[in-house]
This record gives sequence, structure tokens and C-alpha cells, in this order.
Amino acid sequence: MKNRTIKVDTLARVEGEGALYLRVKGGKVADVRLNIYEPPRFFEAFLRGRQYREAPDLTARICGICPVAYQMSAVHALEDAFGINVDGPLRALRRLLYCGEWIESHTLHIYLLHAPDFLGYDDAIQMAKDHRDLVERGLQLKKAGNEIVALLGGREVHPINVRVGGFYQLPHRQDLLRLAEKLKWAREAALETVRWTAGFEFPAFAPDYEFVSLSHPDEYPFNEGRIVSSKGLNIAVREFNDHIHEQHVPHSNALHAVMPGHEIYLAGPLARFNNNFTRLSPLVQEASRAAGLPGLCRNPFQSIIVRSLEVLYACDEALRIITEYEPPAHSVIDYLPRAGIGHGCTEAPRGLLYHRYEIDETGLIRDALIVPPTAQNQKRIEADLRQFVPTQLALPKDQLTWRCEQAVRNYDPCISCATHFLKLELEYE
Amino acid sequence: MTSGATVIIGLGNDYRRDDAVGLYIARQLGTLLPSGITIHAIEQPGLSLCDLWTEAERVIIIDAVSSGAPGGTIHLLKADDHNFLCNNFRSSSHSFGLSETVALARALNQLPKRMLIYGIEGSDFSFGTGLSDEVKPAAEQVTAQIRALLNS
Repeated sequence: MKNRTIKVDTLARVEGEGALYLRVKGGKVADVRLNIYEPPRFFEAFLRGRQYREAPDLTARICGICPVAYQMSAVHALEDAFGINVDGPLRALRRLLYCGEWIESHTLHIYLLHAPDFLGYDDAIQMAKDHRDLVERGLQLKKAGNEIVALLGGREVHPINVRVGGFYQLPHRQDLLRLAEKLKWAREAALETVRWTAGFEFPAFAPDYEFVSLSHPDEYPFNEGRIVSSKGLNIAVREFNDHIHEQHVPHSNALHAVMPGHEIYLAGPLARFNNNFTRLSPLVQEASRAAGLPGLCRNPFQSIIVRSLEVLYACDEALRIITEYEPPAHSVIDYLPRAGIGHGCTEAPRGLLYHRYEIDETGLIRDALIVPPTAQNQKRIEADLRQFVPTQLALPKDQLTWRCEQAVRNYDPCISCATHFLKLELEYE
Repeated sequence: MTSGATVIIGLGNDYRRDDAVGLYIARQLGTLLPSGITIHAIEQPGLSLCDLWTEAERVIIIDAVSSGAPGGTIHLLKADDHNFLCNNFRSSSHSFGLSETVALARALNQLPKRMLIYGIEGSDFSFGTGLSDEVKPAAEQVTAQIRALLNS
């Protein structure tokens, strides 16, 4: 086959800037490189020397889509360092806030970034011209998530109400009840979203992934649990760095995460779903079975259904939390900061997000480590393409290019978090 | 918000000098305009921008632009100036920018009856606060123009 190069100047519909290089030789992928050229942002470096109290708000600035995840991993790591445990209604409110972020982040990706791939549109704006009702439903559903974040977090983007030990301010009950009315609509819309996405056509592709996520005995994981994999890993959060290492590769400004002795693992919605299916609420399990996913999904293209199921879960869980909510006496628990090292791991919409802080006796951050989900999934995206592209070589070049972009979008990559448009170069030999 | 109302939206980033011009003008107008006119100074526009003009009759948006014109140049645009909107306003791969939000609102038939967009050419988008000497007079001029428009 003659040499050919395909260039897509901007792979739209991903958060961040990067490029993809693919070289095909003799029907096989000879080289694949997800090239993240967004400059490093040095968050870990400028956290050093700051007061521990600043970490949740500073790290929330890493991402406009998933700031809650950064705040949550930060406060959990710091609370681990100080030996405190936030429980009861405060824990439930944090879970509610996380529901808001999953709803808004997943819905943005489902309706505006990923669905156009399945319906054959260049972007959501073109899709909206033909499917106005669908896009309006998506926007309304996303708004329900935004309203949770605004109520619990103080504002929709980069919330500012989370602190070590709890919150700065608690929500008023009448505001929660008003939110619940909207969430009842949102839950129905989420159910419709599951039915809608389950009807899409998916390419046959199901790698034997090692799924890595948090797992909690009693609940679908947001903030707590052990780190488990579908192939035997079962470790405490504090052991993250003993098992998962970061390494620099020349073609990416985001560090790649690897787990020595294990395969190139996958974090994110598919991993959570497969590792924790029985902890989903009965409504979501039922919707999942009706969607043709009775507890296992290995096709990354079907991640759009799994995200829809997680939106349904987040609506259902948010309503449960509001119904059972009894306001605590105080918005924050008493604690004393102390020198030490703390680890925190929570489930960001795109997967496992690990923070570690070393705090000195004056409360200053001496060292910080942040391992975002997209950084962990970089190797997996490349591995998917290595395996997927040979099955698609009969496609004309433009369609193959588009399929590759879609395969990257399966991961809803937040390249900015990992280190921002993807340029795709495809070369045949 | 009542039907027929005017909404003014200033966009920008306070910490990237001239990028803050939309915020600066919105805040100025807040002290000068009669009540009944809703004014927003927004640092994170995104899709929720559409929610700000639901039921509004007239929307005035002010933002910094970078088109290559001299700093302080005032571009007066309408929502259908698609090419200019797409190419010259700050956009982000993190979220929908002004051009995408206007295009999506048009596709969803959610554009207000009248939309005016003031794009003010910035000359300094570096880190820091305060408008440049070229942009400050333009900001005062646009403030006066909008004030006159709303009093007419």
C-alpha cells in the first residue's frame, strides 16, 4: 500500500490540545503515538509552599469540566494526612456534589461531543439543526448537574465551597427540595438518554481490558473504596504509588501511568461499571439490562451507554441523598492539622484521580502528586488504536480517520487535565 | 426577567489584561444604568450563556477580540457575523466559546430578537490586571455608546 498521510488540523470534541500519529504497515499499526503537546502546567510545583487550605480551590482550577473531582481528591488526601474522617450528612453532601459533576460532565460528552459521531454529524451545532429536541434535552439535563454544583459548590464552574473537614456553607433544605423537583425530570431524561444511546450502531470491538477503579462494598464509588482491578488488583488508596508508576515518554507532555506486572489498564466509566455493577441502584441495573448490558461492557464505543447509565445513577442517587438528608449541626468537623503524608483517590467522570500531599508542621504543602485519569488512559488509547485500526483498513481514508478520532473520543479525554485539539496524522506504508 | 427586557453580558478574564475589557464595561454600566436592565460580568461563558438571555428581547454582549486590527478598534457585530465570531474571539477547547454558543442558540432557535456584540480589539493579553492605554479609551467609548443606546 502506498504511503499516505492524513492530517486533521483540529480533532474537535475533546478537551485539550494534542495530536495523534498513526503509521500503518502491512495491515498492522507500526506506530501509534498520542502526542500531547499542551505545555506542562506545573500545578504540583506551585502547590509546594502553599497552605493546605488552598489545595482544594487551587486544584479545582485544573479543570473547568471536572473541578469537583480535584477538590474531592484533595480534601480526602488532606483529611487522610490529618487522620480525620468526614462522615454522615457531610459525606452525603459531598456525594451529592459529585453527582452534579458526573451529570454535567457526562451529559456534555454524550450529547455534544460523542453523539455526533454516531449520528454522522461534524458537531453538535449541525446535529442541533436536525435534532433540536434531543439537543435541548441534553442541555436541560446538563443544567440539572450544573445546578447541583452551583448549590453545593457555591458556583457552577470552579466551585469554592468545599473545605477540609466539610463545607464552608450548608445548603438550605428548601433549595434542596427545589432541586429535587428538577432532578425528578432529569432522572426521566436520563432514562430516555440510555434508551437513545443504546440504539446507536457500534463497531464490533471488545479488548480484554484490565478494568481499574475504586470499589466500595456498599455503594457505587465516588469518594471512597479500595482500588481494584478485574484481574486481581486489590489495594488501599495509600498504596496507589506502590503499584502505579508514572513515566515520561518523548511524544507527550503528560506522564504515562503504568502498572508493572499488569496489562495496560483502563480507568473510567467502563471500569467502574464492570467492577461495581451490583452496587448500582435497581433502576439503573434494570435500565442496563434493557440496554443490552447486563453487567459487562468491553466495547469502548459503548461507553456512551455506560456514561448514560452513570448519569441515570447520579440522578437517582442525588434524589436518594436529598430525600434522606438531615442537616448536620455544623458545616465542618473539628480537626487539627498535623505534619504527615495523605493519599486521596476519587472517581472523576473520566476515572481514577489520585492526589498525595506531604504537609509540614505549619500546614504548608511540602510536596504534591496528582495523577489524573486521562494520563492513566493514554497508553490504553494507543493500545486500542493498535488493536482497532487493523480491523478497519477496508474503510476509505477519510472514514478511517474519523473512526480513529471516534476511538479517542470514547475516552472523553481531558488532555488539559493530563497536562489541549487533536491533530491526527495517519500514514500508510 | 420580564419579556422585552435588555440583558448586557460582559465576558473576559480579569487576569489577562485587555481580555477583561468586557467585564470592565459591564461593571461600569452597572453603576450607570437604570434598574430593570440586567447586567452580567461572566468569566466562564460556556453553554450556560444561553440561559442568561432566555426571554430577553435585546442582548448586548461585550468581549475582547484578537483579529489583528490596531488595539482599541471597536467592532460592532451581529449574531450572524459568523466568520468574524468564529475567528476572532477567544475560544477554549475546555468549553463552548461565544461563537459556538451563538451558533448553537441559532440552531435551537434560542437567539433573542436583537443581539449586538461589541468586540474590542485587545493589544495586551499577557498575565496581569489593568487595561492597556489603547483599550482603556475604547472601553470608555463603548460604555458611553451603550448608555446612549439604552437611553434613546
